[in-house]
Amino acid sequence: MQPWTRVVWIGPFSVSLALIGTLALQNKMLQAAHPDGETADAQKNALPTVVLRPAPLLQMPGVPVPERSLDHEADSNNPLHWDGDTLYLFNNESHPWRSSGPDLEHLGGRFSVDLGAQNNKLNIWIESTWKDDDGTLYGAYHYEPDTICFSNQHILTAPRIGWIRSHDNGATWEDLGFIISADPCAINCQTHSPWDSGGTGDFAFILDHKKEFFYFYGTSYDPRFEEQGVFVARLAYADRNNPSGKVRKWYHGGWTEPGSWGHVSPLFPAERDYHTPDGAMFWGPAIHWNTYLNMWVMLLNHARDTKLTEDGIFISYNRDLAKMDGWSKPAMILSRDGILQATTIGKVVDGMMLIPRGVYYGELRAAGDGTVIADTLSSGWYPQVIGTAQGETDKLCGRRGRFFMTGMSRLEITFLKPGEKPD
Amino acid sequence: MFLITGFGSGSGPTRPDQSTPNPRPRAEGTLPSFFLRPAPLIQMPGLDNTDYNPHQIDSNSPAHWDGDTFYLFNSWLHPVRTSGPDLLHLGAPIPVHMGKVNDRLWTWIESTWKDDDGTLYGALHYEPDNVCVANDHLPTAPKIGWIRSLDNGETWWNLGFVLAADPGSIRCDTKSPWDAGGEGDFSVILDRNKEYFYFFFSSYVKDFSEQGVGVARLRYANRDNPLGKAWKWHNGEFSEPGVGGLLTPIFPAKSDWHEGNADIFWGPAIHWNTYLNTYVILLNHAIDSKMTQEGIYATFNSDLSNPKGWSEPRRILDREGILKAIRGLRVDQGTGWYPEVIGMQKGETDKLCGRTGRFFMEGMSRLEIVFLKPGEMKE
Repeated sequence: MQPWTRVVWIGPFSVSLALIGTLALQNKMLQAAHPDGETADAQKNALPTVVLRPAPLLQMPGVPVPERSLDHEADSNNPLHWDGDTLYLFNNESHPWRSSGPDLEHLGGRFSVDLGAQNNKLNIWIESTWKDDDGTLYGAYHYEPDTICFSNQHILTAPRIGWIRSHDNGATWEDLGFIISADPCAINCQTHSPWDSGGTGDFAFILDHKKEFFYFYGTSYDPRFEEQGVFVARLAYADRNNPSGKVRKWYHGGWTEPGSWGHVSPLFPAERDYHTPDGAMFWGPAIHWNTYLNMWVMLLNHARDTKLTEDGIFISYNRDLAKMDGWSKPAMILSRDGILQATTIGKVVDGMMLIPRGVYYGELRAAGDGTVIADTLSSGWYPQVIGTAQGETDKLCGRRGRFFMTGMSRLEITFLKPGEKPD
Repeated sequence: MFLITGFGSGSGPTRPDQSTPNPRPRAEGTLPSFFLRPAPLIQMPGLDNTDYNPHQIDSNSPAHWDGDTFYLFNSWLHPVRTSGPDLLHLGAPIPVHMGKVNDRLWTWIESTWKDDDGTLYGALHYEPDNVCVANDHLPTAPKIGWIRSLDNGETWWNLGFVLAADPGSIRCDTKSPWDAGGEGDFSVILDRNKEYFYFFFSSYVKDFSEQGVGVARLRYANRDNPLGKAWKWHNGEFSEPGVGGLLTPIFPAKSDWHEGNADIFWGPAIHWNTYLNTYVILLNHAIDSKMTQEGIYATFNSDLSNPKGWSEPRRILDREGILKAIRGLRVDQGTGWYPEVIGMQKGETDKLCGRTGRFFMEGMSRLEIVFLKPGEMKE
């Protein structure tokens, strides 16, 4: 049985802009995490639930990609931080851009950040940041080497994760080196994936409450099936300015493997080999601390094939980052149909595709039901919860936040404590 | 007199401990000899490395003819092409187009070969970025790719990597400022029977026993579809795959490339010598991991299919001679790297030379090289 088939839907669901509905679901998946004899009802109540409601469109500034007629591309997790009253956001498409403003709804002034002379000509995505008490901004990036398998080709690639530091809120960065990478020999150039022959990337990191460790949750595309899926690694906070060789990967129940070239035991292992056409696995985790639930919350993509076709977006909870077995079994919060509804951006009228002015353009196509789909958006990739109150970010959210996919949000997410009913 | 000699004196490094069991041809009098004599300066156009060297050249510089036009490629991070009626009258260099991705990466065209139908084939030395250190090109681990052009090398089609080391065979703690591993710094030549292209390349891999000058070959018949078709010389056979395979060096390193006291031949440049009726390879000889050039060496072989047939390398120019010959370059530019013989007659190139040709280092020549048959006396 697939894990998400056990989700209980307790309310009607529609994300149509014309119909306000609610989605609530309960996660009963903690049985594996709490095999201590609790009753089914107790387990049912042990986990939070979420409600998704339609909300006004929020489009991140994103990255302009003129050659694809895209003006707001967001091709990864999009980290944010505050400095005083200013909110900073990073969007990426082969290179990071930064925008800023008083809140998430009023971001502007986007520009391409400076990653360093060498990095600026390569393909890099800043996927996570963390603002230190002294004002230093730390970040981690997903780097995709060129020509891993084919000359004069960017893909197939095999991503790696590097650590960076900024003293100007991310306008310019200092590279502190690669901290997480797979064995360079672990590549499969015969893969059916259009993107990854191996490597580790598509991640988020977060600092624990004791400020002891940064925890990295990333995706392993290793050719070895047993090392594919969502992996975990950590870096001591004390090593944040000298991180090379300091990261350890979770493997066989301990933090035993080096960040570079070491093995991983996935937190959420692949269900079918990623490198085969029907590969299936969770990938691209995004994590935040939920102040209302007092829990860590992770959103996950779930791919049903090696092209990363999204069959749903999932959620997992944990109270303690140090406990790998504390993560609840992922439960679906949005199905493929829900993704398509939430990312529909217009309609077909008299054979013409009508979309809101100034919102998005490029890579449009008419869907069978008379709506207009933007392929990049409708992928449903990069689900992210972002708190919208002052001080909240992609790393911090309360009872309510915005639910984003590929940098666009038409849904509000409300977290409910175990047993709590929707408003 | 500006003498630079090298009559097969046998001077130079002692043979590495790991030399092949079969003795190399070395009998005095049975091998060709050569001498160098001063000649007017020839400076290849190269690339403008602003405030450093207006004629920067950072690899072998291949040349070919198309009708009455002589074409030359110089490379430094990216190749440029020049052309003219001969080597002495070349025009301004133009950057060539290597492909969308390759144009933003660092590639060097180190060898070319003009086919009978006019197609120009080439091989590139590619240096991946960030191999060991983020936001840094170096140290790198080069690979060798195969390319094709239908316009004499102004634009190139990339046909894929043909030679590469195991990607895990790197040492990021290397003392080398440049290479943590990889295979590159090479030249290619087609055999006289048009059966195989032979690649003579430098191996900087992790394993000491595989460091030095290696050889691989690709069938001429596979020139338009080379992926997976090149084979490396290993344990007496062309038995290892070009990409990821092992190799047995024809000139093994004497001391580990990755240690400070490296001792290694590298950067072979090969031509067919019509006067000697033999193939001639020039070699750099590094005496540390910074590639300090101890001297430049030559080796001979009349049969490319016999990698054991290469003669013991003989020094043709020592350190002092190198420094004299490249005078005028900045001290920190005077490496003496990339020795190359280029024939000056019409039809001659870096791949073809007769009794007399020009001897280049870093694209600069102040020396003429004269080849002598076994037993032939100097004029």
